[in-house]
Amino acid sequence: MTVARPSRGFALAATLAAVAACSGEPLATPATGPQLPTLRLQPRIAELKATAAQRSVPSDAAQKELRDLGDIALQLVESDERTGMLSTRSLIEHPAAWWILEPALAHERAEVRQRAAWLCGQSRQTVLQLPLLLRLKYELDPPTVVWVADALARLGNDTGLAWLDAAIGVEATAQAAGSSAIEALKARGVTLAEQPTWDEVRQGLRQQHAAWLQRGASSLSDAPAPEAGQLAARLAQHLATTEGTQLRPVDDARYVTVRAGVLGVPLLTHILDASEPYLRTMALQVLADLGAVAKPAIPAILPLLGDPLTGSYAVRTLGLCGASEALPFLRPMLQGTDLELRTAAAQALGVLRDEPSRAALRARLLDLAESMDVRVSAAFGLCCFGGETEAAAYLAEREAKKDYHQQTLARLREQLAAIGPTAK
Amino acid sequence: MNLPTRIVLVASVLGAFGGAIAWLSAGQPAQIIRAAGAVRWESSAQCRDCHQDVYDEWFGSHHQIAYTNPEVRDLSDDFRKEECMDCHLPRPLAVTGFGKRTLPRRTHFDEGVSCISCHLGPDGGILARNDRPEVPCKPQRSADFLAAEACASCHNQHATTDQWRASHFAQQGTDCASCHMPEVLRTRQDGSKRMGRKHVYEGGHDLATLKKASVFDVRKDGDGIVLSLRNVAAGHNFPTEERHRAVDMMVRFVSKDGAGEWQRAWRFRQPYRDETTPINPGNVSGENAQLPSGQQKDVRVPIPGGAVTVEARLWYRLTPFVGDDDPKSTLLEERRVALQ
Repeated sequence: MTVARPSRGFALAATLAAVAACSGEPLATPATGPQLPTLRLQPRIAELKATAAQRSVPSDAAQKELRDLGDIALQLVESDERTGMLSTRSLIEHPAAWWILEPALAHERAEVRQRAAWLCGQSRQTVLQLPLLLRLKYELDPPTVVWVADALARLGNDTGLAWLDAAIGVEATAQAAGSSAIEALKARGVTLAEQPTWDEVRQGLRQQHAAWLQRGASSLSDAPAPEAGQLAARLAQHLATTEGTQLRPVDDARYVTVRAGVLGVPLLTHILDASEPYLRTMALQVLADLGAVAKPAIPAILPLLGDPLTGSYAVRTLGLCGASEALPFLRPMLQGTDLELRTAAAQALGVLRDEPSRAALRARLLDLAESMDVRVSAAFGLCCFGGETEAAAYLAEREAKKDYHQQTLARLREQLAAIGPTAK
Repeated sequence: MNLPTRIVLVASVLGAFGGAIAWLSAGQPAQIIRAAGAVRWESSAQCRDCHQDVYDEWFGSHHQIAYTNPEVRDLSDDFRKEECMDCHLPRPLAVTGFGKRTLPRRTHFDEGVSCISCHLGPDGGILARNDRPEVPCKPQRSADFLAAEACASCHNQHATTDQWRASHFAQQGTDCASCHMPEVLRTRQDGSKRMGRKHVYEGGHDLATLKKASVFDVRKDGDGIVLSLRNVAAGHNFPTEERHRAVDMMVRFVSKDGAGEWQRAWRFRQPYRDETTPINPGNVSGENAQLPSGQQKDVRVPIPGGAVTVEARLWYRLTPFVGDDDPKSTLLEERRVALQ
């Protein structure tokens, strides 16, 4: 790889940027370009921990009642049919049912986990989609996966529809997943034949799941909104794990928040101004994964373009969530001195298909003194427009010569394929 | 000198300074413009001209291949688990804070944990053992940079730094670098000598380092044999870091009819969080069966009838799911004891 060489005319700006970086304060503006909204950082981790701690705990009496109901409803103890039905109904109607159902989702016996998932789905406590999502991450028992996906679908989270689709493809789970899928599709207003084919059902699941990824919300009409305090406490608990160096809880947090759709966006937006860089980064990464769903966060992301630590992640996120209003800020970054920013900007301008940037992207691509990271990103950016044979040839040459990180090239290819037919 | 003349003079000096910076940054290799304060240290390649020997040590090390190592890519789902990038492609640790969570970069993928990752200071300058204002990169001495905390951002991921803190190594001042970056005598470009640190980071992938970490012993004790392993030289658990690393004490008995099957007498390993089967029959589910620094584990195995010899082996495995014939298994020690 070649070493980046700052372009003529930006060296002084680089000096000023370095001085600003030395001061420990975020940069107010990129190298050139319009004035960015001011970034005012403030501590957020303590606030998140406090929010997480506000998760209400039922009274001692309620806990005892819930334990008794749970033992019967989860079939941990034997009971007659009538007692079983009454206890099950009482539990799913109990406002604190989550207190007994959440831990039961991790029970060592698969049949208890299945029962817990079913009860979660019946409870209509939509906040339970967060622990269900986490269960989805770790569940290894295929029939239980179907129960968890079914419960998520009932609570208005369409992440599970992709799991139902996959389970239909496996003989052992096909029938259970198919029944659940048909019910989920009908509840979403999808018209199916009286005896739909597997293909028809799976096609419906894929369409609904694709729509979920676009909107971050289900077309299930009657899913109630989660109780705000309970939701905030759970999301805050996940996000606060980013403070530590142990990555498994952070991975869990990412898994859940990305799959919670629109539910997480307000809190993620709130922590974008965190003085803790790991929180800002986490929020930007999750919002990037959410794509267009994260659009409401754009005004809060823009000030981060001047942040020396997370600026490149802000650029990437703005590109992926389709923030065309960010273009005046992104264009000058292609000429800036920060390698991470130039690389991220080259990709984002392509993803946003910013026609006025095409010439500048070509210039970056053809600049032999430019870092290969930027040149590859510029080629990627140009390929997003389609019809850029020189850029496509440059990427192909890297693949043939193996002089650039091959997996990164493969990932860019995947992204181009996802962008659509114009990108070659 | 009157005021207008002073203003013109100051403006001329500033203009010439700015122009010089612009000219230098546009036309010269990045590494020689540090004097103007405008160089951006971004790649290990910038360090190579003056530190070829260190660069050569680092190149090929597990720090350099941190992002490209196929084993890591496999375990991280090809880095779709984006958190893994934090430590396998980190931005400068000093910028985010030693001992704190790191942030990932998205450039210089083939450099993994690069020179810049550890040596770049928050002000954009270079951190090192000593102040050296006379050399091009003008390193500044940093006590934090030399401390174990500098490794903790990534290596406490599996509590390795915490294990070290609890060991007598920490109490006697033997830090991470003492073992994993030992001092070496280096020759400067002008021929003078200086003490430096080896940048190979020998550890769990180095046979010599693995072999000296512990003492393995087998002895007959009445109607049984006792296999023992003592962690004598690792200032942390043995093995440490990733949960897929395992150390196995294997044993087999030989009778006049021939050798029996190899059986595992004990496994030293931390289980995965969702692993429900205990590592060894004596452990409870989820219990960490790594061997802490300074501690010894004795395991007694009854001698079967007719056995005349016992053979014992100590294996280090990069994954617990492979047998002795897998390249991911490394034989550390072998013992043979006559029983009659």
